[in-house]
Amino acid sequence: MQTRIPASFSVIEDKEKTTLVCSGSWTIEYLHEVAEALEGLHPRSNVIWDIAAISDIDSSGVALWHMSNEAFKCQGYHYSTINAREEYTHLYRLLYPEPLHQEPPRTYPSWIYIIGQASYRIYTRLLSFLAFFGEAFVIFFYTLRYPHLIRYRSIGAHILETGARALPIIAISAFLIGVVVAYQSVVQLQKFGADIFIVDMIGISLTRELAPLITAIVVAGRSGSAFTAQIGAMKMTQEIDAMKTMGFDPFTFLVWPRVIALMIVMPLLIFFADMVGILGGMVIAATQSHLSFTEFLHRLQGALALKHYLIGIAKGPFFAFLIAFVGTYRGFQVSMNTESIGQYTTKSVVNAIFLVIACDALFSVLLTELKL
Amino acid sequence: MSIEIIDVSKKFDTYEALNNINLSIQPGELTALLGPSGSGKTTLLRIIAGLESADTGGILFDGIDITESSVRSRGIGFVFQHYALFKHMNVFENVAFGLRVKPKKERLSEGEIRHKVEELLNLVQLKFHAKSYPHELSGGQKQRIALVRALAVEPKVLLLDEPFGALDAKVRKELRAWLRRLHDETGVTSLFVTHDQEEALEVADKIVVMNRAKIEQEGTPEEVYAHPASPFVYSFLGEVNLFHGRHPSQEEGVKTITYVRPHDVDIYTEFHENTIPATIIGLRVIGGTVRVELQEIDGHGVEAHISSSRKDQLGLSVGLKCFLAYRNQKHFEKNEFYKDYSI
Repeated sequence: MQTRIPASFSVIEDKEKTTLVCSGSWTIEYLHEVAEALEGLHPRSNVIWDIAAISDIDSSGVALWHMSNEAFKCQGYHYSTINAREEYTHLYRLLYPEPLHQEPPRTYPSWIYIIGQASYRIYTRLLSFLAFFGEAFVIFFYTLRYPHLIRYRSIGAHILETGARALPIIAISAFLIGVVVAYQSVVQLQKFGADIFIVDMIGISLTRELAPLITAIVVAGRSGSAFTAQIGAMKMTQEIDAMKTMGFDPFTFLVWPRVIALMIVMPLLIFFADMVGILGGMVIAATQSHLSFTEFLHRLQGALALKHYLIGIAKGPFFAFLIAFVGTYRGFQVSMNTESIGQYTTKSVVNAIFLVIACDALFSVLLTELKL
Repeated sequence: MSIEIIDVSKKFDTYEALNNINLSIQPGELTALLGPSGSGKTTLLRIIAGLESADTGGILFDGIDITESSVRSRGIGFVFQHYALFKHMNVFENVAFGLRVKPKKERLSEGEIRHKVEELLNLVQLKFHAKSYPHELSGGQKQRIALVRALAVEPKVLLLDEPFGALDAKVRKELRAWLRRLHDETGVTSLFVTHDQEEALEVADKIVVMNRAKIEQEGTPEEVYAHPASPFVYSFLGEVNLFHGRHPSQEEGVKTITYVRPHDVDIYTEFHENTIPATIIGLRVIGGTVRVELQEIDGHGVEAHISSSRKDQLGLSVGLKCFLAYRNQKHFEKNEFYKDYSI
């Protein structure tokens, strides 16, 4: 025998909605209490009826809902019903032809709201980055005062990982860039019979611009992402929290060894990319334009001023700093779910490459203005 | 060391994690923070550790305000649910790590560190795994290493965040008993977070039950179990049967809800005074206990836990008509039940 429990409901309020979880028998004999309660109810957000648990309903129960819904509408809130059985929906329709689910009309926020929200988001992100940056530098100067805190072994390990192990991929990329530049220039220069200028073209463009840029992009993809993933994984397994509780500072242990290692390694990698890139150009010059290696090198000595080479190398530490900092910063942002490692690794690479290119553009403008 | 938590509140964006928490913990006590997930217990633990900062309120250690102190200066040991061992270090290095990074003045010599770590590994019977790496150990072993790693720095307070949450039932039971013994030996003020009421009741000196960012009740395990302050505590600490409006001296207009634990339901095959007729609709034998599903004459479902010998003695079977008596009934006013989100 199915017993009837008086109708009741409980109110669960959260930020966006007020859920009324109904139970019991919403029939005329059992309604008077909830009717009073509903009258006294003043929701502060849109209302959702959850009627999964009701055992029974008749037209007076439906009428009560309808009246309450009208009242909510007057107060400016929308209402909807979830977990309704089909016969209840049917009964409601029968009595009140308007739909049981009243979809709130889609509201589009105004442009001023969108701009405001976006600005606020950018502002808070900037603040968090500045906080990270600031803390890192406080720690940096602190370790300068107490140099025994510097983690030399860790720096060494990162030099090996980000430097030596990156040589093959950088060799291939730089060689191919040399080949591409040489090919393109040979075709154009031959039209004017100015084949010999291919040496100037390759020498200057590679050492000054292309080799640093290509190296930075490869390193961002290879090491910047690795930094984010390593630190992100440590954050997720709470190793970073564990370090903190044991009196370790994550900046001295995780950030600075990576940043310093990359800043040491980057100029070396750029030098290596210069050499391999020029070799690539030389091979094409020899095959396409019959310019022998000796001729090429001889010409190179005259054409390539030292400043171009030095400017290219000098970009290294700057690019390295950006890549390593963005990589570690993004790593610390990883939250406790597994998706976020992937998300932040992607962000880290995209940000790092963008910053490297922006920084390179800045260098170009500045150095040209300085007549270098 | 005593811990004093005063008016601590914390919000994450709009989500309220802690709402005005006040709590004091006596030196040398092993306290359990018990509550469902999302009740704010881990947040509270992290605020005590200094890994999270409170929006308002403060924390005192031995009467000294340490709200603004850094994590490292608080002198705490923290054990994480997923161990958080350093993957690239072997067991010995993991335990020694905390000792090695101390400032030079406080640091032990290499020999002393070695001695101490070996002693600690002995304590957890993992001496022969000193050279192993974390990935070579089982979950229980990892958690024991995590525990001695936290103890190595001789913390004044030991904080454990669901220490046995990721372990299987059997290992959990062993480690519980082991934690209790370890605490009795070391006497460090300890605070552990759990959502397992059995664990809390078994291990702790004191239980703090949390729900919806608030403390519902604090007291010894016996107190909390026998005299729950609210329906939430009652239902969280064990299984319950629930009846509406059955208070014997029911006054007009006062709605009550009555709770009875399944092991407080007596089954008789013959009519006695004050018993309610019911039908058995299900029997499940789980080890030595039998879960009997019954339906009262008015249709209300009841669950009873009896021993299997009692079941045989009574000769219970599905479909049998019998009579129920309820012991230790606990009555709450109905509006109390909906206190937090009432109409």
